[in-house]
Amino acid sequence: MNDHPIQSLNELQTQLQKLPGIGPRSAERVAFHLLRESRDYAAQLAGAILAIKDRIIHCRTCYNLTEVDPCSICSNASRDHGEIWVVEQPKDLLALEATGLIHGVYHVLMGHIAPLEGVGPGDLTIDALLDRVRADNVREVILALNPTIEGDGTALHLQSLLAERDVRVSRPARGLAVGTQLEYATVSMLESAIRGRAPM
Amino acid sequence: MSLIRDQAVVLGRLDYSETSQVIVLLTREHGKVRAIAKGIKRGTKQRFAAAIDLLELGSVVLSARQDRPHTLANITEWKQTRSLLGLREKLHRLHAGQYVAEITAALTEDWDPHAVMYDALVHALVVLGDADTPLPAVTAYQQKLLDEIGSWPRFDACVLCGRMDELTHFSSFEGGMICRHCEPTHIEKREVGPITRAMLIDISTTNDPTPAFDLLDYHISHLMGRAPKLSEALLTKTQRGHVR
Repeated sequence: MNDHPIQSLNELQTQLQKLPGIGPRSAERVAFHLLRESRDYAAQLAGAILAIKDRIIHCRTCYNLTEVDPCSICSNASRDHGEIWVVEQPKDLLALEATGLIHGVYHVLMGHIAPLEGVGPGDLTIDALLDRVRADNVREVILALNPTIEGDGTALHLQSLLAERDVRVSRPARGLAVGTQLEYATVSMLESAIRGRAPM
Repeated sequence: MSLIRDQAVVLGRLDYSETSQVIVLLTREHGKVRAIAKGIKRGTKQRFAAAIDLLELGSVVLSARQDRPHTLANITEWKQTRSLLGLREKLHRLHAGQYVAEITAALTEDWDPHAVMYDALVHALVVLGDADTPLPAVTAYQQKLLDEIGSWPRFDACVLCGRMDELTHFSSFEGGMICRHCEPTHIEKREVGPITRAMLIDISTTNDPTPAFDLLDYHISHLMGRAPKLSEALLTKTQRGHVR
């Protein structure tokens, strides 16, 4: 509850508090900061917020966020369209793309299967992925999903669907994170690393 | 505030903020506990390791006020003690693991310890991690859970008149079998054959516990007030309700 007598300031603080990680004190700080800034800056900020709502769409091929459809990755002829990296969220795509090692294309599921939360396969873009695999002469699908119970469950579900098609299914290696110390690794990390050890 | 050290299984988790999660744990000595893991999603706190995942087994340190059971405890340390990677290798194992976690979370009270149930849950998860078919381990756990919470039905006699023959129906509301003579006056009931009833009297003797699982799942659904979300994944509608 904001208690300023100025209604417009109250309204701004109320809206700011809806943002992740912003509490009443932070909202007040940001509101007063904006009050001190020029009108041009406020207009630029408001314009930028509206622009992401007006211009950003999901690519109809891979469901990545984009301003043009198809997105720059799907329309890039130099990428390997026979290799699809499947991720849960657009943020995961950005993380993989930042490595500079992926030459294939992506498919964003827009979530994972979570039966306990009522999220089923029909809530994701799985059908679109299967259509792509069928139509685009895909050689390999890499299931780069989060190594959580839900991520692994989604991967197993996709694996069973893709088994009926002539396509290689793989997933990124899992185990020890680079830069960590063995003594702090969990039992699962160590077991995964031991099972998946690679020759040097 | 007291510090509690215990063994625990993760039954559920939900996002609380950008960096924190509420974790539902079944602890061995303190029962079900809801606790907040602050900063868990940031991944920088070594006392939490990398994350706390569903169905993980670990040792936990909690700061909690047991005199206020409705307030969240704080997880100050978490260390995974056993890896159950086998659960993640097959979809049916994952479904079964989530089913036992779901019914445990739904049918237990906070801060009500059940060490026997905890041991049975750990045993079920370990067995499921290597199971070709999940129903034997799940059915054995259903039995242990219902027994521990005092809701194991009576299968050897009619719960209404005490007759030991002509036991044809099961009523979850009444808590067991009802005979042919008492059955007509009851709306909530389900026909049960002699094979299923024998199975439930001595569950250890059966290799295919499908009808026993089906009936206990029906009973659990009544106790929960809804069907477990993973029920359908373990047994489809066409596999249910056969009188044997």
